[in-house]
Amino acid sequence: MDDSRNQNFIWRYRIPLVVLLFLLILVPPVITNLSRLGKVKVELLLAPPTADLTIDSKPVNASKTLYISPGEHTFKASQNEFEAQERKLKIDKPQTLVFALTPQTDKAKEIAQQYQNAYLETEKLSGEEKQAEGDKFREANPIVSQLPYRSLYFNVDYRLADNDENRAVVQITADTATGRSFALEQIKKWGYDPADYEVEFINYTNPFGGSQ
Amino acid sequence: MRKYLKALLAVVLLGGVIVLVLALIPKKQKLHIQFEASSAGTRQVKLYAIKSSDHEAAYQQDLTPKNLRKTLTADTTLNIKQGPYVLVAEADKNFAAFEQRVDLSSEPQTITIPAQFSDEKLSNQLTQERAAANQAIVSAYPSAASGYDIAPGKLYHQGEWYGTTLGTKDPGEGQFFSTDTFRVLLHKENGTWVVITKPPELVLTKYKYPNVPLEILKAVNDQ
Repeated sequence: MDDSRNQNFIWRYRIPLVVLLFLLILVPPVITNLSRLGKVKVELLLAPPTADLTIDSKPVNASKTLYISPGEHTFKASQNEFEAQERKLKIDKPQTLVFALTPQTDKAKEIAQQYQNAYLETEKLSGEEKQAEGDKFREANPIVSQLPYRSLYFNVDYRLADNDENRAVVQITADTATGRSFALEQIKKWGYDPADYEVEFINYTNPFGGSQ
Repeated sequence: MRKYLKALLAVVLLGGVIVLVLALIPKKQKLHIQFEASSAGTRQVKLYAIKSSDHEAAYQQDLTPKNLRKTLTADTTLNIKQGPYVLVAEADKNFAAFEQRVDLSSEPQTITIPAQFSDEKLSNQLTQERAAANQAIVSAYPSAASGYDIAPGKLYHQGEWYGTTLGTKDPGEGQFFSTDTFRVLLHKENGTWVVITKPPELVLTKYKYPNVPLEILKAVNDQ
């Protein structure tokens, strides 16, 4: 008798129940996505993975993926008997942060050995990070893709700026005024404006004094 | 039991609808538009909504009355739907044309409409200023008078910047292309022309002159 009543109830409310079930499935991911609005996805790779992580001095669950408000944040990874790492980073786009802590004691070395795979993964990602840094440098200094450039009248090359290794200083070497003028024209022909770069003329003395 | 179930269902349904509506409401953002001194109230700036396109040529066709969102004549803060826009101020007798794309997203933005004088107005001012500006160059670099020709030059922005070039006088037969051209930039401060480029340079860059508007450096380089 009870079974029959239950079946009737389910049959009578089958549509609302299906809707309810549907909403129970749909609403949590919608709420999760809404809570991530305006935040930046940050993938974490910690070695050892047991290390603690704080963001702006607040401990966070160092799960593999975090959603962080855009802006400058201080990340600190630490674990007893390992050298802590602290980085101040501007988070403005999705990225992967790698923290590989150096063991300070024999016990820590044993722990590191246990998580050898995590360390290998951080090494691989560090290599990729270096590649990404190179890409970022080329993006910030697009002219370097044309350099060095050699011609009969002039050479154009670059060096890293003294106080900012993410910035290229364009170096023009030419023995004549024509060469210097052609070099500046060549930069414009490539589609770059010399005003956007620090430009220095090698083996050249400005007749008005000072140096360029 | 059924009553409670119905109530629970209604709450869940309402919650679901609220969540979906919130997700569908277009996000807005603040755009603060300010006029550089002396141009407020004297010119119109139009704000057009455009399609997401990076190319100027592509958005030109969106600058129609249908896409016009606001016409402004004074400093204003708008709270508008996020997305790409273009601000356009037409040239008139006093001011040069202005056009700037704005991509409104997660951060509020402030755009300053420059009070850049028209070429005609600057050209008229130049006839009165040239002698004093050239005198300032010669005072700073006496050799500029003896060994170099000072080109006619140009005034920029509201006439407070003057840029010109120095080319070697009488370079000698066949030597014309073997002489450098030096760029000189001056700024009018308290009614007096002050030489900024010390020394005159082959090329002006934003790294050496961070306080000079980049478009002025580029314009002087192109003289």
